[in-house]
Amino acid sequence: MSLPARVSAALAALAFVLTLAGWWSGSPGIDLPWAPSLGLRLSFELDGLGVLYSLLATGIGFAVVLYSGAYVPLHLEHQQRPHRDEVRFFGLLLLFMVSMVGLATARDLILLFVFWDLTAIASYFLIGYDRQEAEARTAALMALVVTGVTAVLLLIGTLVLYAEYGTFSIPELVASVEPGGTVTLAATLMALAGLAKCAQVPFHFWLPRAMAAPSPVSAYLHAAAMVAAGVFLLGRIYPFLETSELLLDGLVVVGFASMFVGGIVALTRDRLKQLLAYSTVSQYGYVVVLYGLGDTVGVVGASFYVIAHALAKSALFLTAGAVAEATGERRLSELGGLRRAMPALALGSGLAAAGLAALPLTIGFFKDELFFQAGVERSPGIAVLTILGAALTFAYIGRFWIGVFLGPTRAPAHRVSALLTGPVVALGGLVLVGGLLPEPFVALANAAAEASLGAAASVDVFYHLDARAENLMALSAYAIGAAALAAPRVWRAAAETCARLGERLGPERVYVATIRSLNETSDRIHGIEVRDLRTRIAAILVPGGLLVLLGLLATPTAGAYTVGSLDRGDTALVLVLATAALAAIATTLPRQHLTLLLVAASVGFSLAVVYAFLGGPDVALVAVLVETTLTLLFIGVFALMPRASLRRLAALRTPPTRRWRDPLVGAAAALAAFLVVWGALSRPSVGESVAEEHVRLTPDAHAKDVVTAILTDFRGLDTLGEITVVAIAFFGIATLLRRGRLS
Amino acid sequence: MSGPGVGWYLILSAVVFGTGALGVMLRRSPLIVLLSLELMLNAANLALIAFARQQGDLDGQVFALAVMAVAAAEVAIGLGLIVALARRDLPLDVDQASALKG
Amino acid sequence: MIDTPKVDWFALGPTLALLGASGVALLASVLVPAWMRKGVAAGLAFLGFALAAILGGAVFAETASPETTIAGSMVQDRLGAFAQVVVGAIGAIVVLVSWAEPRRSHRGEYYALLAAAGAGMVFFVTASNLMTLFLGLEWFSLCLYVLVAYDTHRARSLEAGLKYLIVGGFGSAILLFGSALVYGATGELGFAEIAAAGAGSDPFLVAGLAMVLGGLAFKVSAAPFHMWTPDVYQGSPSSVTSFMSAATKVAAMLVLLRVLTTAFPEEREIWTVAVAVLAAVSLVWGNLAAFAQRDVKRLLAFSSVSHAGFMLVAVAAGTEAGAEALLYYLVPYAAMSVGAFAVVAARERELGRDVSLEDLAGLGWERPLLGLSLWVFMLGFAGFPLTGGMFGKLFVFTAAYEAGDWWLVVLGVLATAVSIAYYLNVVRWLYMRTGADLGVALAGGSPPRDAALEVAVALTVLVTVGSFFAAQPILDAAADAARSLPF
Repeated sequence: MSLPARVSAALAALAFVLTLAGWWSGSPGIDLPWAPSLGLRLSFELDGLGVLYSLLATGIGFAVVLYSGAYVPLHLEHQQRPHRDEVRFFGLLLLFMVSMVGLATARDLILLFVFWDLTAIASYFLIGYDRQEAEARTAALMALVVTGVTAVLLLIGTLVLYAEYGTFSIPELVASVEPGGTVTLAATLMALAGLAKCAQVPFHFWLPRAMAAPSPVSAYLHAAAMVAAGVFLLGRIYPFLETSELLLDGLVVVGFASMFVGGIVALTRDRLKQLLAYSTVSQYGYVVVLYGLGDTVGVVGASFYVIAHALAKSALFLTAGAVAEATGERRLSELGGLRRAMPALALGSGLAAAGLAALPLTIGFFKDELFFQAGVERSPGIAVLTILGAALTFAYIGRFWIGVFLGPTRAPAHRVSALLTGPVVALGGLVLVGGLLPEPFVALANAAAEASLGAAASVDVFYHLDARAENLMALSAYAIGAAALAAPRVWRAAAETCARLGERLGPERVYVATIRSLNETSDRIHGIEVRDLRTRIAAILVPGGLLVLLGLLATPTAGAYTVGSLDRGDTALVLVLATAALAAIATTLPRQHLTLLLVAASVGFSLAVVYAFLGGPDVALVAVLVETTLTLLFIGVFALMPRASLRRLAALRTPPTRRWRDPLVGAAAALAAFLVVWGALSRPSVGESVAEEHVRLTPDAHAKDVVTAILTDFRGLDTLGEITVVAIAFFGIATLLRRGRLS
Repeated sequence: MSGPGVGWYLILSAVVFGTGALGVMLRRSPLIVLLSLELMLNAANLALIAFARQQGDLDGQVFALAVMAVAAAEVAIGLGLIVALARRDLPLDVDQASALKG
Repeated sequence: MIDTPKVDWFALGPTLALLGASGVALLASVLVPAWMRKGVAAGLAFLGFALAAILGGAVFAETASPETTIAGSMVQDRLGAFAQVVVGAIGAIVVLVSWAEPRRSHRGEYYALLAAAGAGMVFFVTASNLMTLFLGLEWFSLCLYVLVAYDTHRARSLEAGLKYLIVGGFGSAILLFGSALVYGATGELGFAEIAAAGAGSDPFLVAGLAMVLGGLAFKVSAAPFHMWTPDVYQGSPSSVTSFMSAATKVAAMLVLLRVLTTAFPEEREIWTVAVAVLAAVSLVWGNLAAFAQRDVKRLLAFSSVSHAGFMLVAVAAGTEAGAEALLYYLVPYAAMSVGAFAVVAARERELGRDVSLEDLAGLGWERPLLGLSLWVFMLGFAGFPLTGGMFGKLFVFTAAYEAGDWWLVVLGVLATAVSIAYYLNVVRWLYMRTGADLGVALAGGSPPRDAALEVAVALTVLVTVGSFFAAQPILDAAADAARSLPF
């Protein structure tokens, strides 16, 4: 084993021991302020649920690290990648482990969200570890998109609770929530995030894809980390979930749907890891059903189920990896009879498979016993469904183990490192130990349920050698499962039709179609965006005009629209106004630059005259000055520009397609501006008398110089700004017109 | 106050502003687009001064003076850009300027 | 005898520091021997920005309650000081980013213009009347028009400059006409006086408000007023883009908030709706348009439009919590934005052409620091934890939810969902393929490491991640700054 593997194994083992020690010493915690004004705290506590998932994350993690110590170098060798890539693998695995422990122990919803996303990010890189393979890249992206997007729902659920109760702390929230719409909304959003993460229908499609990851990653992901985090969340927010019966019933429906969809598809898969992936969908369906059924039995059962499943499923995934390394084959149809070449592996994974199939003497027997018990307590219909689910599990897991280890040898196997089989045997052994000595595991599940329920839970499991309902149900499940195994021809066609139907109509299609339609919409938008500049300005002006019009319509404009009267003394001014207006309109006509410039200049000069009439002689003077300078500047530029390019510009015509649209848009804008003014005229004219007053007072206020005085004294700062702007403009032009020496 | 009501000035201002906006959208020569921008700013100036007159307060006039200088600076920079483009013999047509399409 | 106003040199400090730096840098780029022009000018600009940030900090510390100074044309308050600190820091980092920009002539003037643009912004954020507002806006806009077109040897740069000038000028004209209408309705230019004039729902005031809002919406690149953004972000020199995307957005967003809350408190029902509509359009359009972009700068430009949408969601709340959320949001956003464009700039310099997504392939392996940083920025933009982006989104959503804008929250969640897909796509390109797989070779081998840029990127990562772990001090500052607005 390489150094990174050793270090990681040591750390995982240490963390496992520390977690155990912490549990025995009684729920230690850390609580530090983070952002006090929001009541945000760095608050961790090793409660029952935290212990359970931390032990899984570190314990299964330890086994996975040991296995990876042998697996990853081989894997890298197959892909001709450098050995230093190993460091990254173990680093990411450790990050995954840390985020899982953080998630399990977080006592604050924001912290929970943080670690939630960290597990997603870590799994993204681990699923996409074989980065040269397109399949791995797509799978990684899909996993992160599905879980990352639904994680936002967790955040929204959090803020809904925060807005209502003013705290992020889970214990405080648990103490104060009352059944009602707000809590139901928050709990629904959070539950959706959880269901997406534990790959329940209809979010399940990302998980089978994620089997593109290296086998140890899959084992970890399915059994103890990413996917398990989904059901962990359900356990953590159970106090919110149980406020709504409807929500719990919804969980039951989703759970059963996942159980059957996952189970049926698992029956039809040929690739080992895909079969196992669908089996995970189905298995977490059990857990979701158990949470949905609720009550002490349901919640304890859910926690217990997670332990049993974690041990068995990780062993099975590691088996798949070891088999692939030994034979080079990954399909059930190309494998068989491996019990002879790999007896230890056959034993270890046999125990694990027996555990999933819930045979007596394995920990799995009790998981199903609790499951049946919860079903019976609810209703006979549910009880029947639980039997069918268990039978399905028996069938597909039997198909897996029998297909790989029994029957004729199809692919020869070469020897593999003991590190590849050891962890499988150890995990299988634990499945057996759990069947013989379930007390510590049940104690752990009880402690976890206590954290979910907020009340002590003490469910005990024993072997009862009598004809009680659970035993009969288990027997019928074995019988149906065995019958299905014995006569595959009966169901194969139906199961495959179901699977194909799911592929054709399933949520993965929706996902792909969504991405595709987003892409198409985006392309279309891109097409709009890159049309010419004026289209864009028109696109700005239309909404702008609309805004103004809306504003106008929204305001009461009472009274008549009058523009005031004209008398004979105003003739001169009216003439000037008319000239300016005509000149302005005339600027839309000419095509020759010089003509146009002169017309525009005449607008400017007419306006200057208007300013003079309006009592701003100084402004008028400045306007004349500026207008003259600008006109000269323009003429200068015309002289500077190549004659040909000016002519070309002058010859440009509006393309016929836009000849009508653009003036219409412009006219609409002008109309809007006009309407604004028109509407404004109806308001009571307060100003006129003030103006007269002002005119009367002008001599006292040093009228001749008052604008100058204001410019330099009162408005000194603005004048400073103005001067700066002008200075910068000159300097900018100088920079722009430099002779570029770089080409 | 003698002379036409402030409304007339505002109507003129709206007409000039609309004409300027029309020019920016209709004309393909960047030179004319700049002239049109200048018209829009002039329209705003007229409104400012008319209102200053109506309100009997000088702030509007001062504002208009500042705007004139700034508008001139803006147009001057625009002209500089156009000359720089012409020197490099790049297309000056606003519609043709389309190297930036992603 | 006319009373002359008291000039508050302390409040003007940040502006004067940058203006001084700009002037001296300009002198230096003419008078100093050619070989040291760039160094002197860059150093001066860096010092100017740093000094502006420090003085802004001092103003922040010294100003408990807002005071208007210099005849009511500017206000000395914590909101402005907050923006000055942020803009100063952005500018200082951008100077580092710009250092290795391949440019053989007029290297000093670039920094002078950058400092002048910064001076305009720190002036702009203290505006307390419509005239200062317009002047400040034009001040930094004119500098930016020139900076955008600075690489006169690149057709795209010139074209972007012209487009920015035309569209920006159009926006300024609208803002100005709106200001005129507001002045007409109230007879006042000062924000507080406009509010006090109580013109009620005068049609002029409403139309003016709409036009002022529209004019500022151009500058914050909120859809549908964003049409210049993709072209200009793509065409400008990348270091200028990094400055614009962060500093302009910060300054314009804060001024938007200031104008709306101080000048138009009576019209809150009107502008909250208008801003909410702008926010919604920006969220939808920005994210959808970004989805299929291949050019990284264009993608980031649309992402910047969508972030304007998120910020406007906070403004639309129209509450103090909303203002706080906006102020917090700006800090990690500015850091991520500067940093992301800096990484693109580095790649651009390596390859000698515009950077498409394909060109990012393998960056994560070849340049671990830059790759990791871009990864952090993308996750931050998408709102993943361990970056301030996550808290930014959380605060914005909380403010909107509490203000009753639940539909904006829903839209924001959908927008986030879409955005995750394209931000992750960038990360996928960074790490999932090595450059060798695609045959993308570095142009001219491996260029020397650009230490200044790497320092800049490291600093932005520090802020991005730091604003997550040390959220409290930023929140405190944001709360202090938000208190200087009348809510």
